[in-house]
Amino acid sequence: MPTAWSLPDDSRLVWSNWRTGHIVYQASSGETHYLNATGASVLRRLKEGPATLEDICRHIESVEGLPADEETVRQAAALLNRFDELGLVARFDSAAGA
Amino acid sequence: MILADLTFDQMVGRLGDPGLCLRLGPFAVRISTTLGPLMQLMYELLRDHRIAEDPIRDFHVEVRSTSLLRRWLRPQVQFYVDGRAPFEPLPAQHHLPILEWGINWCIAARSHHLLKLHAAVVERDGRAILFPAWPGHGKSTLCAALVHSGWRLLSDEFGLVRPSDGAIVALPRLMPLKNESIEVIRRFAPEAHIGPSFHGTRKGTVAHVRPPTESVERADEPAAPGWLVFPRWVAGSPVRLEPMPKAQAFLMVASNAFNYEILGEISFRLVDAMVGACSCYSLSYSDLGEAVAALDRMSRSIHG
Repeated sequence: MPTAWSLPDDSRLVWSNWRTGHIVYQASSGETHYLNATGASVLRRLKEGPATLEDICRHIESVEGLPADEETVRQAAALLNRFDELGLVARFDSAAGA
Repeated sequence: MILADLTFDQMVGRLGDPGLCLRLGPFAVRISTTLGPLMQLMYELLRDHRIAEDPIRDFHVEVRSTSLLRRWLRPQVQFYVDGRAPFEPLPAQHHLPILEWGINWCIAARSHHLLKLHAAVVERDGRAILFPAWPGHGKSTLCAALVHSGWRLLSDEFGLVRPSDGAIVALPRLMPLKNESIEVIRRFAPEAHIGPSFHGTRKGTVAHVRPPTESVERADEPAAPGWLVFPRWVAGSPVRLEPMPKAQAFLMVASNAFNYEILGEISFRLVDAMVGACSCYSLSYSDLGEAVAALDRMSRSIHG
């Protein structure tokens, strides 16, 4: 069963968007994060609903124009793990969450 | 009524008991001391500040000698706020620095009804330039030069942002200069009123510039933020005033604020609004006159 990702139930993010980057305030932790365009786009995708790593890579490909190759998969996985550490996303078993 | 409206003896009487309450920007500070040299300097350098009649004081501060024994053996002075000493005593001759640093500590540690940036702020025509900067980047020297070049002093140390509307609240106080900067300002602005030099402090030699009278008289006038300029004095550097990406400016302002994390989402929204309203620049310079001229051009430019 593939792992999937979603925004946590208590997630509330406040955004400050600029051409050169995105700043997001995470209400649950009180922390402020800097995100590049890809990171911001991934969080916005997850706001629409849960996604697997494969879904995220397809999203990155369509929005950012980056090929869904091994490098993109590796970087997307690292990004999601980092977001998980920060409490910005939650990991769950997609079959159980469906 | 301002301090200068009292005679020296009247001021001395009040400083002893029950303390003299002065309005320092938005703060009513009751000051007590019986140290003669400090009282003389206060009368000279704080003369334009209003005597506060508010029944509520934000801080009760005192500077006094430490133990009786110490009066003869390496005498020291200590700063107290609400009866407690937040830090170690200093040599007795550092009476004014300890008073100023102590009041800074009170403002930084308390008063979380305002977002506090570590920044100098000056204003002209209703718009403020904020200079967020860490110690040693030259903001006080630049600020002292600007307020003697047609700009109003809002603050040398704290950019106070009012949450209700994002306005910058004025806190015109003494501007401390360190080491070589003292002579730099004496040359740049011979009309500046600079107090005596205090040698051997933890910051080297320190002297205080009295804010222009008009700046203190207009302490009740806030200003809208117009520019964020991140200054850095660099020996030998030509003046460079370069646009800064707003995302970067946001992070620099947030990391520079004393109480950003304490205010949480309020801070975030205030910084977001401020960055949105301001043109953002980095400034590196070595010549003070060139820096002042560059900032003048920036402020008068329609694209500023």
